[in-house]
Amino acid sequence: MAKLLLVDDDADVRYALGKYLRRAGHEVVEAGDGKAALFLLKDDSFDTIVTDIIMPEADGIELVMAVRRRTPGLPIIAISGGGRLGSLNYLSMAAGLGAKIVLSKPVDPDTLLAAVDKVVGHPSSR
Amino acid sequence: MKFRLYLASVVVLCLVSILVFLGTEDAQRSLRLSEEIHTRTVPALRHLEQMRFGILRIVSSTSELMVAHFAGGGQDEQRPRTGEAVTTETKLIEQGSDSYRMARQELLALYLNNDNPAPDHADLQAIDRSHAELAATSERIISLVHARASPQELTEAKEVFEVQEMQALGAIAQALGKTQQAADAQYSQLTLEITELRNQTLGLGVLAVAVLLIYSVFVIRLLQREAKARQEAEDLAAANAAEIERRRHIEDRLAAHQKMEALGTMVGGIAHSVNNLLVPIITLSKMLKQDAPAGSEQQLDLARILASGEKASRLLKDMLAFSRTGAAAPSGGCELADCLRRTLSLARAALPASVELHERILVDAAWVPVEESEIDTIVFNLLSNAADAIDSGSGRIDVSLARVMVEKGSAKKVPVRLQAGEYACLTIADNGCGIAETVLPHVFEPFFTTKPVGKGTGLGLSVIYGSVTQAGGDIIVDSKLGAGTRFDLFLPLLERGTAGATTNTIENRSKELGQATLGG
Repeated sequence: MAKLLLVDDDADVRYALGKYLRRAGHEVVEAGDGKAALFLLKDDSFDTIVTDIIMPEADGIELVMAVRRRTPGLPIIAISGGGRLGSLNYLSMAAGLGAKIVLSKPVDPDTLLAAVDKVVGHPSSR
Repeated sequence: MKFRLYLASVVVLCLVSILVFLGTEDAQRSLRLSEEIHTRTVPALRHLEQMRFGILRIVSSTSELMVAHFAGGGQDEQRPRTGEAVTTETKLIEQGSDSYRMARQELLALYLNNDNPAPDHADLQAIDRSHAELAATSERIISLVHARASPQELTEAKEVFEVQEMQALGAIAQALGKTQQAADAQYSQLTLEITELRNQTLGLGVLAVAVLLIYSVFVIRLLQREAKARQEAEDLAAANAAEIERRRHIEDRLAAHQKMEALGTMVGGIAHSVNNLLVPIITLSKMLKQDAPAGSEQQLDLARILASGEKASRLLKDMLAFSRTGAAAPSGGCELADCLRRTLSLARAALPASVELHERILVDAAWVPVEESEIDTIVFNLLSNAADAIDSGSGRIDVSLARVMVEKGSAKKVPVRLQAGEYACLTIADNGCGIAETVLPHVFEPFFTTKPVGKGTGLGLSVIYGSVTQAGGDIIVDSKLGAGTRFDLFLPLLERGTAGATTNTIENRSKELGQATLGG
């Protein structure tokens, strides 16, 4: 049982993953982009953030960087569907910036669940 | 060029014709001259001989008459010459005179016709005179015999006759000699003339041959020059064609790269969108499947939806590999030679027994910025394609690894897009059915396949292309229908130090990510 912030610009993705995580017993708060997520992070505290990388308005990379600055101990799970934007590999970038786990879309929900359990089970700081 | 040759040919032919004509003319003239010798002097000599013969008859008849007379007469007056016998002698003498005259007539006719220089008029007159005297004496002797003249008288007449006989024969001999001399002179002159003419003809012949020789040399040189000019033109055309071909080749490859880039962008975009769409499909169907009664039809259907979603997910992963924004773990590097050996030893078992696999690894350590798993995929995919191409009967696949130096504007066989530097060149060549010329430009395009439906996704080569180009390399494919296909993969070599450093970082990161790579 953990409190998660699920960030994705795709409402269907949020709905599906959110439902799956909730069913597994987690509390899930959803945000449509990085800006909204940062807004939520101001007032609330979470055990982990599950975020998409490519999003409009403050993308996942910005979010990861901001979270690293503000709450360095908060583990981040980054998910991306890929997408071609130059030769940059966003997932490896996110990993380099401190995302604890990177997963590629379409992520298997059980894999995501295992990742969440992993980071929440061993929180580096809370 | 042709006009000059034509003109020269006409001139030479005219010249040679003139020379030959002159030569023929000379030969004809010498023939005419030699005929003249015959027509002039030979008949003259013959006629003179006949004249001499006439004189000799007179002489002999007269002599016979006298001899007979002296034999019978003189002391023996009882045996006088009969008139009949004398008449016969007279007739013989007249016949001699007649033949002399006839021959003389012919000789004169010869003079009129031929302007014969010998015997000259004085000689002829001398002969005539001596003949006339001889004939007259002969007649006197006959009449003396007839009249039974005294031996005294007859002996006197005989002495006169003998003198005259000597004179007549001498005159003839002189004339004959002169004529012969003249003929000889004429002959030697003619011989000289003929020799001169022959020399002229020979000279003309030599000249004609010389003209023909010079002309031949001229023609040969002209032809050589023309051939040289043609050769130069051909060489130039060939060089131009080669240059055009080279440029076309470069343009084609650049165009192909641009096309692949555009395709990559498109595929990446599609994959990103479809990946998002697949999340609810997979997640929700998995959830519903868990909720559905175990073994129910509903659960089985949901399992099918889930399986399809997962299949689509794998397909997209391959597409993303091609589009270079791979969702896989960050790319590090590996040592290609060892990696290739390991992969090949695994692959050998998977290949049909009828296919020979030859490896030739000429590199000790070749660090390239490609993951070992990617190398596996690349090699397995290419070997599988090669085995499929060999299909029936036996065949062979050659795998080789070598270092190559790429310089700007170097050999044609090096991809145009590569930066100058050192590369590992991994070559996989088969002697299978080959790829049609129309198909070859499309082999790297995603979803392009010639395999039967369900046998290939059309992504194998796209994924390889993505891996190699993402690493800063490039691929050249060469194929000939019926002869086989050859893939040359150029991968940039990492410097050993850098490679080590990179490996370390990767190892660290792998440890770091080790936990992260859970199932994904």
